[in-house]
Amino acid sequence: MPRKKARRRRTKKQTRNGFLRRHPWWSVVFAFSALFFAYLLFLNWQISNRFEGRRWDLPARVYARPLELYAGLGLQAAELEQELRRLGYRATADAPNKPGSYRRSGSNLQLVTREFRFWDELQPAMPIRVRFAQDQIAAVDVPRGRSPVVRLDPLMVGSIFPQHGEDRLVVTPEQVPEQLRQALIVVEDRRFQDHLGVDPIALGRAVVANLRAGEITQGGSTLTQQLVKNYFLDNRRTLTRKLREALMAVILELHYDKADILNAYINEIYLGQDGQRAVHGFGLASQFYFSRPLDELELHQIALLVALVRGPGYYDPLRSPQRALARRNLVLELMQEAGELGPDEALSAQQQPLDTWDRKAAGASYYPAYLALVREQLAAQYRPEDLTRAGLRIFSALDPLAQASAERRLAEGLAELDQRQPDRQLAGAAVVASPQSGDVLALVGDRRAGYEGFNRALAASRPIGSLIKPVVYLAALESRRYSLASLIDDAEIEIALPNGDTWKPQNFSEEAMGEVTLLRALSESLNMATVRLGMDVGVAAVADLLGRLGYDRPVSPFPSLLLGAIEMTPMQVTEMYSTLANDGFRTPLRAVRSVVNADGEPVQRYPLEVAQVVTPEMAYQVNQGLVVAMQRGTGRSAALPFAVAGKTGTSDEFRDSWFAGFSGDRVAAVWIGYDDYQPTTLSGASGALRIWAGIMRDVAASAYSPPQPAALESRWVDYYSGAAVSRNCSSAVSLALPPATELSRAGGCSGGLTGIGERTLQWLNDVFN
Amino acid sequence: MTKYRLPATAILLAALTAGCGTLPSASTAPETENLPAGTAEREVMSPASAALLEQSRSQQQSGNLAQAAATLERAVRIDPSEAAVWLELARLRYAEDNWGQAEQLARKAHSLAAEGSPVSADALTVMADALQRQGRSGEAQRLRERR
Repeated sequence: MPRKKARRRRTKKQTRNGFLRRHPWWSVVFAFSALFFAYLLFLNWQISNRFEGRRWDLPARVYARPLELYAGLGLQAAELEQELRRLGYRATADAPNKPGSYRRSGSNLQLVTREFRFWDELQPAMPIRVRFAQDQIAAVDVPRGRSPVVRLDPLMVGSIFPQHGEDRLVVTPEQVPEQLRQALIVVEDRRFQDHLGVDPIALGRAVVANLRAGEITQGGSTLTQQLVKNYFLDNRRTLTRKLREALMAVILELHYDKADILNAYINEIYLGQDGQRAVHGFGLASQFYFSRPLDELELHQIALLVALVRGPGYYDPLRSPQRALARRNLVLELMQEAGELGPDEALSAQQQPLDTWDRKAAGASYYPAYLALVREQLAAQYRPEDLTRAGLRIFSALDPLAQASAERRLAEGLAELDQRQPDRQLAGAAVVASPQSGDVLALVGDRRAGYEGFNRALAASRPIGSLIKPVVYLAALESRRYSLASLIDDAEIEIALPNGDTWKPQNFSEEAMGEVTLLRALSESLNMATVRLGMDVGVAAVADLLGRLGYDRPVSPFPSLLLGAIEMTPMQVTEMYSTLANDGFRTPLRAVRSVVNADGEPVQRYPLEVAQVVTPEMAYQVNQGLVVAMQRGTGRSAALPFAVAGKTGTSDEFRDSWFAGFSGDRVAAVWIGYDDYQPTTLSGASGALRIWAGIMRDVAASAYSPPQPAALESRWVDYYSGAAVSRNCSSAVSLALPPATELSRAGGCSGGLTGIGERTLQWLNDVFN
Repeated sequence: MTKYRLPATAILLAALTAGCGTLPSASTAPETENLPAGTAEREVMSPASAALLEQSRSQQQSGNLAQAAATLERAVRIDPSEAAVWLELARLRYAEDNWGQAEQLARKAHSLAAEGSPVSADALTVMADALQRQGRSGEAQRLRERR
């Protein structure tokens, strides 16, 4: 049986081998054909996959807050014009009639807004007129039936692109200007409509040109070949790669029609680099270079983008403007020669400047620190691939004006402070938020804005020093055993620690002030008085209050907590002070307001939520102390022209300089220090305060003036003695106190500064801070 | 120095201190306004807040509560001290059966409204109703008695 089978097999084999033995070269042909066919199938599979799958990779786009225009807004015409430029609006000589254009004439500004789908509604494009008077908007004239509160389209501030860095903004064929298609065909591939993926004539011409030059100078690639090349991003100029591209191009042409291929090209092609982010497609390139949607581009702008196809790095309009201009004008010339443009049209476009949008000058740039917060907030609900692929649109709370201010004030302030220790470089961070809405408006994690590195605003946990004091005083007020007018002894205090050591806190001035009011102890940041008060109220009460105010980590209730031996990030500090600024209501801070999907349907909203964690009466009282601190205490050098509340913070040996505080509508925290924890020589007042005050000057629109709770009554109290005094006493302070608060009987009106020693001390403080 | 708070004495004192103002550092003008005046007394709502409030109400009437809430949040950003906006947001959450937020937002509205104003009274009502819905009848009752 086995024998028989073996013989039969041998016979069969002999027959086949017989043919191949007679024609040996056929076996080679068969083998190659089979291999080639398999290869073609593989290429077909690869390229079809890529072409069909191109819609999937849409990084989430992040938008800044939209600017709201309404009567009464404190905004000057020049500032609105700046915002419009940032958004890529075009200035026109005549009355504007297209979306995305404006005309300013004196104190009037006419514009046509762009249609924009917000998370809550679609706002159509509409003509409006903004009238200005006395540094504010006097009126906004809108078409009949429209809301007098108009939102401008928000600035796109970034995207969450995948690891390989490819970013794009896909456009539909309707959004592509006809001139762009014409220009691409004229410049890159004249026979695009006729060839079958490869163009032998163009190729032949390129080969001749290259032979003459002795090197490869010219490419004869069709648009289809370029598209294939972009799909696989392989820049080696090898013959096999060229052949593979040509084969794939033919396969593509067999499967899809010309319009599909051209549209894929427009969305795929590489057009620039922005740090780690690669700009792909004309949709994103239009935003990147001109801050405008593609369908709003003018002829000379379209020509520049087409010029970039040949080498976005080589023709970079920002780094090589001359080269870019020459190539752009060549594109226009070729278009005219091909009959797509009239001579006048081409000439006038050639006379236009490059017109690229200067991101830095426009006050818009890349915001890696803020985007990190956006990602952090979204990470809880979204998988990374949802963010890098699904085309989500994320509406953030970022205010580009506040961000620009915080970046500039921090960079300038640190450059100045660096002069104290010129061999070292200070680091810093700042956060600005709106306490009532919970919006994080600005976040700076490094003195170099736009630098993608250590994000100190979110990651640098540092001891907060005296920033803790409002919490200690609030705990004391909540015990109802103290008011701001109560007296506490600012004298040496010794505290036995569980480990057997004794802790002897000192004042900043190393001088004891004796009996002082709580108001003064808080305002002047007296350490010994604060520790005595905190020990009486209980460290546990302070730790508990920290949690209520929004600090979400466990707190060890050691006595040193009373002087701020607790580490927090600038973001956590802002969170805590935001609750004070919001009069005892906690509103968790957020960077993202809402998320919509690629079709504009709302996916997620982060609604405004509040929780009362401190009664308005208690919050009002402690905030009075922080207002007085800005008038006569540690914050007085801020010298802002409107009422604010705030507190300095300085850690041991001046390793950290902090300031946190608020106006009626903004809360901000600033930290300064060295990354390696070396001493800085800066107190909170001499370091962070200056930067904080600069930011507040720029971003605050209203003074801190909360309504006084009805349950409190106003009394005139002496700042030093805590006694009831007449309002004419020069050291009198109006304090809202719980009714029937017993005031000190001794002391009376202290008048100006109490003693010559203290006056000298204050003078010294002023000089050295 | 004396501590009487009678107006006549105060005027006399003012005259005296002004007369003997010899200390160089002590300013003759008394430091009076430590805390700026509150905004609770303001009667008129800003036109922008009023317009958004109106817009939100018509969105609520057409049943679009999410849109109405978004409009109110815009109003909060434009003028966070406007009690009527917070009250409307509280009512909206109440209509969505979100009693906890209705109560908290009403507290916020109440803290900003002038004592005795209609907004203040309405905020107390929403607070009491929201507390009642959360099963906190005792607290609700006490609030109703305060009205």
